[in-house]
Amino acid sequence: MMNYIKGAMLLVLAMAAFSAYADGIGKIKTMSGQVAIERGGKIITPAVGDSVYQTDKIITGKDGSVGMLFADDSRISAGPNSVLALDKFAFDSDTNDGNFDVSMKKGTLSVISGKLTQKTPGALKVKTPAAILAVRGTEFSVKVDEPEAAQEAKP
Amino acid sequence: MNRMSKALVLLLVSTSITGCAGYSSFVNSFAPAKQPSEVQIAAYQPKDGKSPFCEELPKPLPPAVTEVYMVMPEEGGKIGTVDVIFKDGKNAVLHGDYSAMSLAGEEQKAFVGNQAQMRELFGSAVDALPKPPIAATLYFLLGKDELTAESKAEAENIYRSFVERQAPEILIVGHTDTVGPAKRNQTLSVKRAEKVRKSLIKLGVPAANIQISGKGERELLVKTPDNTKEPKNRRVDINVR
Repeated sequence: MMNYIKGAMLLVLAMAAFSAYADGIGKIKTMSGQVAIERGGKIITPAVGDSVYQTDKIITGKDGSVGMLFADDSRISAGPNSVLALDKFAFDSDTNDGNFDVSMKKGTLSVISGKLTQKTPGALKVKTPAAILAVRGTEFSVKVDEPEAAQEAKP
Repeated sequence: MNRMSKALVLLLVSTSITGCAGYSSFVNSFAPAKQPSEVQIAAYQPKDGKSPFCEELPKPLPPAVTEVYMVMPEEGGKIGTVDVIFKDGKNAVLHGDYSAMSLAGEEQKAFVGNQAQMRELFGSAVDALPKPPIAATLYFLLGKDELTAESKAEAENIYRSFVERQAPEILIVGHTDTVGPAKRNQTLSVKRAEKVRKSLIKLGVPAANIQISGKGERELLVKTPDNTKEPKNRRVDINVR
C-alpha cells in the first residue's frame, strides 16, 4: 500500500514537472544576429522553432532581432539592443480569457495583439520604465532608450 | 488704444533686449493700476506662463527622448487603440494609424507620425514580426482521398505559402460527409489528411512539423442527416502557425 502511494506521488510529481517543462507559451518564428534567453538563471542561445516560456527574458545584441508567435496568436518582436521579459501569460483556448504581461527594459518592440485582446480589450500589457501600455486591440511599437545611455547622450 | 499700440512697441523692444524675464515684469507692471479692459489683459496674458515670443527662442538642451509609442496601421483597416498609463498617474489614449507619443524627461508629447518615422524608429522590430497564422480548406471527391479539380488548382499556391514560412507548425484535420458507414469515414478522413501531409513533405516541409488527424463524419461543416452527399463536408482543414 505504501509503495502504491509513493508510486502515485512520484507519478504526480513527474507529471507536474513534465507539464511545467512542456508549457511553452509561444515559439520563436524569426531570428537574426545575436539573441539570448535568460531562463531560470541560465543564459540559453535559442533557435528558430524553439519554445518560449513564462518569465523568460529575451535579450538581443546590437545586430539582433527576434519574433515570437504566442498561443493566442499574438505576435511580439524585438529589434537590436533590446531586453524584454515575458512576465505572465495565461490563455484559455476555449474561452480566449486570460492576460499577457510583457515588460521592456530597453530597445524596440513591435506587438500585434491576438485573441486575448479580442476577448478582453486591455488584456495585453507592455510595461516600460515610464508607463504601462494597455493594448485594446492593435498593432503598435515601442522604443525605450536605456536611461544611462540617454544620460550619456546629454552634453 | 493709442496707449496699447505704444505698449506693443515697447513690449517688442523690451522682449528683444531683455528676453522673457523683461517681458513678464513689463506685463506685470502695467496690468492692474490703469484698470485696462479684460480684453486687453487677455491679449497680453502669457500663455502657460510663457510669452508667445519666447516660444520662438531656441530652448537650451531639451531632455533626450527616452520612450516613443506608436500605433501601426493594421491589415484589414481596423483601427488600433492603446491606453497609456504613466507612472505619475497621467494617462493618454493613442487611437488610429501612426498615433504616437514621445516622452522626454517628464514631458509627454502626443503626435501623429508616418510610415517613414515608423521605419526609422522601429523598422528592425517591425521586420522581425512573424507572419500571422493562416487557415485553408481543401475539398475532396465523394468517397475518395482525391482533391476536387478546384481544390487541386488552389492547392499548389496554398502549399507554397506554407513552405515559405520559417519553422511552420502545421495541423491537418480530415473530414468526410455522412455517406457510408461511420467507421469507413473515419479511415477515409485520415487518408485525406495523410494525402495533404505527403504533398507538403514533398515540397520540403519537415515531417516533424506536421500533425494530422481524422474526424470522420463527426464534425460536419454543414449539418446533414446520415447518408447525405455534401461536398462542403468532404474536406481537409489546414492550420499553419
